[in-house]
Amino acid sequence: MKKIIILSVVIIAVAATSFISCKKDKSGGTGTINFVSLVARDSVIKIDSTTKLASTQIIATATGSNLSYTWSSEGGWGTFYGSGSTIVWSICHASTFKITCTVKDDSNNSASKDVYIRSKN
Amino acid sequence: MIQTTQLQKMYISGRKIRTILFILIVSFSGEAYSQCCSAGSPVGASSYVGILNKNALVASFTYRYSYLDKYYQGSKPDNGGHSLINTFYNYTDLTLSYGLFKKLTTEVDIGYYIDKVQTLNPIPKFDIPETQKKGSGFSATSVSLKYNLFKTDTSKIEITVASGIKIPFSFQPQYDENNTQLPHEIQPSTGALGVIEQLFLSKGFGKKLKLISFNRFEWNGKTPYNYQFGSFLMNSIFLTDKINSFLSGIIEVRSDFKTPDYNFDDNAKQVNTGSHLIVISPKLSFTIARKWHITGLVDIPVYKNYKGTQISSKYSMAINLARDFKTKKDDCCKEKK
Repeated sequence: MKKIIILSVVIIAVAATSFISCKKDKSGGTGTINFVSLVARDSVIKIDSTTKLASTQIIATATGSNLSYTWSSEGGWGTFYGSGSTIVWSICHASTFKITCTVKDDSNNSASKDVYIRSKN
Repeated sequence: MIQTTQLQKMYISGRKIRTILFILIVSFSGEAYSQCCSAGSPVGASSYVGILNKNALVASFTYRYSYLDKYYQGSKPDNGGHSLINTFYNYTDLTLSYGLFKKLTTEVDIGYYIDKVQTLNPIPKFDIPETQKKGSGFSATSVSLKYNLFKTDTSKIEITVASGIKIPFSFQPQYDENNTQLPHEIQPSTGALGVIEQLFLSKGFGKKLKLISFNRFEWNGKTPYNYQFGSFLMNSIFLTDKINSFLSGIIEVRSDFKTPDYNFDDNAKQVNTGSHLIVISPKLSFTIARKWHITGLVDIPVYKNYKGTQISSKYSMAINLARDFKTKKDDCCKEKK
């Protein structure tokens, strides 16, 4: 009985250690990301009376290993064009919008920055 | 024996009518989320107009195509430039209805977008050519219970109410192959829970004609991104005429009213959302081998009134295939012997 208890404790201890070691260390990895800046070419954009659209270019500057860029807007507003570190974003109505860029490297480290853009009529 | 055959015929005929009524409502659609850039979305897509017999099961599959390319400001066409060239969707819907008890039917509905597409105008300022964005995937499922309040065979009047919930398949937005988030207008799922309430009234005239009033209210909850799609109220009147034993003609006049969306980030109603449409929808329904039912329909908008400027439906069509899987036919006939 004593042996069984000891064996159970050992198994639980090994399992717990494995679980902890399997946890992903988001800040770890071989490299790090330095997300320098996220800048919109125009932070205030005017809706064009002909195309009924306002648009601007947004540039992400970051360093790291094999970076990938994911772009989103709060509320899913507007349309993104292009890919990578520089994209164009457009919107068809006036308001203030938060655009987020998330950069990931090949060690699965990630970093995010936001930029606010105001569109007006 | 002759009596039994007549009863069986009557029963089969009644069952056919029920399934056809199921189909004609299943196939309805409104442009629920139409706005400046939207492809619109079918509303819930289904609802059997009344209750099913106990233990009866009806499965129904609907395919709908909708194409929008004309902008409207209020009730008038707006011929100015716009961000979209066109927008369209291919939508499918599977509905299962089951008669739990004599007066209670349950229904489960699953919607799937084969695609939901926007074609955007070029942006010369950044040398961006004409671009197409596409979302696809499951939209929402709804589960509802229908209770028959009143039904008489003598005066051929039926009143049924229904209540249900709508659950989105995803609360997370979809991204394209460039890792950029798709605009919310072409996201397959609204990302919001909803409530559906329905009222159905029916009155038969003679053996062939039936007048039906179908009313549906949909309320949408807040999305994870602080947005609330407007409520939707549909009032519909159908007139059905059984042309012969396998063919029925149906004409529907429908009013689709949608309140403006609400943006909690701006604490204001969202511009260019909300509408009132009146649509005429003729339908033809075929019955094959007494169990299969095929219905085709087109939606013809006869009145459009949008809040602000919105892209509007040019045409919309749907085809529906439904089948009765099980009925209490034998029991029914035995009881009446």
